[in-house]
Amino acid sequence: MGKYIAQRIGYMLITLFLIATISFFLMHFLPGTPITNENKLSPEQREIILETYGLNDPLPVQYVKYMGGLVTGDLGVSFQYDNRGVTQILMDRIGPSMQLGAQALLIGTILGVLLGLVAAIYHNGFMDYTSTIVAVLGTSIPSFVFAALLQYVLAVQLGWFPVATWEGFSYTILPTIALAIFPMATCARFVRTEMIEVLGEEYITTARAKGLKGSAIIFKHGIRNALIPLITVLGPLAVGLLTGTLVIEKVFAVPGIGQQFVSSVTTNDFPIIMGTTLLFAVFFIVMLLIIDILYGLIDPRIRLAGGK
Amino acid sequence: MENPKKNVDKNLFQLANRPEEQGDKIARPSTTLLQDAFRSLRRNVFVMISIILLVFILAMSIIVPMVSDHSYTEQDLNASLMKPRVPGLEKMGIFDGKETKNFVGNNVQAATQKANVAYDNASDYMDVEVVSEGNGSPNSAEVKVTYDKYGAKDMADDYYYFGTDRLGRDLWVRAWQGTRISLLIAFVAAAIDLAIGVAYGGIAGYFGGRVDNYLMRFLEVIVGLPNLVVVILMILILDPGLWAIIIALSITGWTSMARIVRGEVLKLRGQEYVLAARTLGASNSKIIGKHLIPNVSGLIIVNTMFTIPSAIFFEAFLSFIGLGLPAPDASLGTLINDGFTSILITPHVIIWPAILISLIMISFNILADGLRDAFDPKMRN
Repeated sequence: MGKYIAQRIGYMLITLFLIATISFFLMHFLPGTPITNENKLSPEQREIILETYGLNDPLPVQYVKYMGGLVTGDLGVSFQYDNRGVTQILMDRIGPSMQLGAQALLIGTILGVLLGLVAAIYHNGFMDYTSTIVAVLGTSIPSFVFAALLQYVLAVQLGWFPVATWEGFSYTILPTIALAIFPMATCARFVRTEMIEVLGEEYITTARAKGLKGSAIIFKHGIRNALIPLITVLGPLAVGLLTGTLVIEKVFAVPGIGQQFVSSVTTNDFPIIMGTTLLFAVFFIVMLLIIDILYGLIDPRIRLAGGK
Repeated sequence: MENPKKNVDKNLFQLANRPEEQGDKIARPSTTLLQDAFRSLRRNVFVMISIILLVFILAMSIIVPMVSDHSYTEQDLNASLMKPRVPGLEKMGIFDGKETKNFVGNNVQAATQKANVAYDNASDYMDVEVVSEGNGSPNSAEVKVTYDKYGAKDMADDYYYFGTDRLGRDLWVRAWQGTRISLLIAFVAAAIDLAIGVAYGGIAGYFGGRVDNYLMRFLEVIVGLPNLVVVILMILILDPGLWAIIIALSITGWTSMARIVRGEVLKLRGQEYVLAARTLGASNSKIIGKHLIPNVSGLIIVNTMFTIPSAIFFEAFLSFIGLGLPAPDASLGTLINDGFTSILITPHVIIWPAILISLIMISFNILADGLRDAFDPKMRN
């Protein structure tokens, strides 16, 4: 196991290196510089600005500097915010994003699991149809449409919740709901299928033949076995929340990484775009690693080559 | 115990007139994979509703921009932010193009005066209803003003079914044009995914061994790159537009198709009929094209059906964060983005594109789910 993880972390670093290199060169082959359109600047001022940001150095030199910075966690300097370091900007904003993501994943999973279980236990009943409809709507309707709807109805029209920004717990409720819908629907769907399958297994018949009570069968034999495979969807869902936070943070003006990224895209603040891209990449790759390790730990059928 | 059979008179029975060859007759005509799938699809009400809805939306998105009086780029600042107005329905008091807004003032006159200012003194077209008389204290009086903007702007003969946006563009045409572009992007992206994925997966699965090994290692590298990051980088590099979005979606999109096809082909190529075809001297391309691909076509169709809604979503997502089509082009994503900026004041701008994209996504997902069940023999009763 240790050897496997070490190997995977090695691959991870190589992937990150590749992504950093590719995005660095792509960004620098884009036409123009951040000050191309600043017509008020005199040629001397331009020269000074390019010099301060190191944009006059030959590309390989800039590349080595950037990569050197990366190793120490320095993502360069923002063009937009008074020379603040990208690392600092992102660190300031990571809190709301993490909180939103964690809350949404937690609520979405719990509600989704409950919905899926109830649907499977009352298979082909009213709750089953309700949960199927919720699942189809939740996986189909784009999160930003849902967010805009929630915001307009619950915040603007009814005034139950604050409309936007981030000043306390009540401000996190609507964005969390909007973000949690997709994981909830996916979990409900997945758990329902798994649970129906498990309830049809022979050991359930055995348990029933032993004379176990219905609730004991469901809790002791059913749910346990149905929930194990859930771990396989949680990883992709956590990754999917990244896409969600970009739009949800825009809709509710949450000062998180996603909103920063969206506004940097419109202002061409390349150091921030690159920093955020790398941050997303790290998150994505680490999640993949965790999922793969969990697969191996949980499912005895997937034993990694090279023993324990 | 007595056997009841013994009491039955043998003369009651006679031989059925059943010729020898009848046993070999096939009772029903044989069905192809597609016929078979379609038959079980037809029994699913939700799938049929989805298909009808999708055909309707597709037809509208093709026809409306062609036959409409307004083009989707035509601006008319005089007709900016008009409310929806539909002939027939307007008589019922809905979609009549009238705006209703409450104004407050110290007394009724003051409140009405505010309304007059807001609506350019077009008092002929204003219908003032007093909500509260007020007692002279600040903003205690309230009037409810219904304003007939179409009449005031001398456009009594114009009908904007979905209203107009800030620049006075007809949202009815823009919504359908946007649907057209969104569907176009999704179909082209799905077709590219299909072509690359099937070819790549087919080759890897069929030839196996070293070819398979190299192709799959390359695929793993691509899968390892974060999808979102690659798409965003591609959009930033390419000139913004239709093709940028299609290429960005295709670069990472084909991998799941390739994986599925490869796995299935790998399983099928060991079957006897492939061996028979090879013994008869069929070329590799013929075996792949004639024997293997048709046998994985069910999986391919289902996977493509899931690709389309996810491409529609991704396009809308990119447009929503400002990486979509440049103005004045319209897609459902850009329309929702436009509408969102003014959702508090003019919610009618965002509502129709939002409903359309939701309907399309729901229909495609139900259709894909239904197809998956239809192609899966295990799901048969």
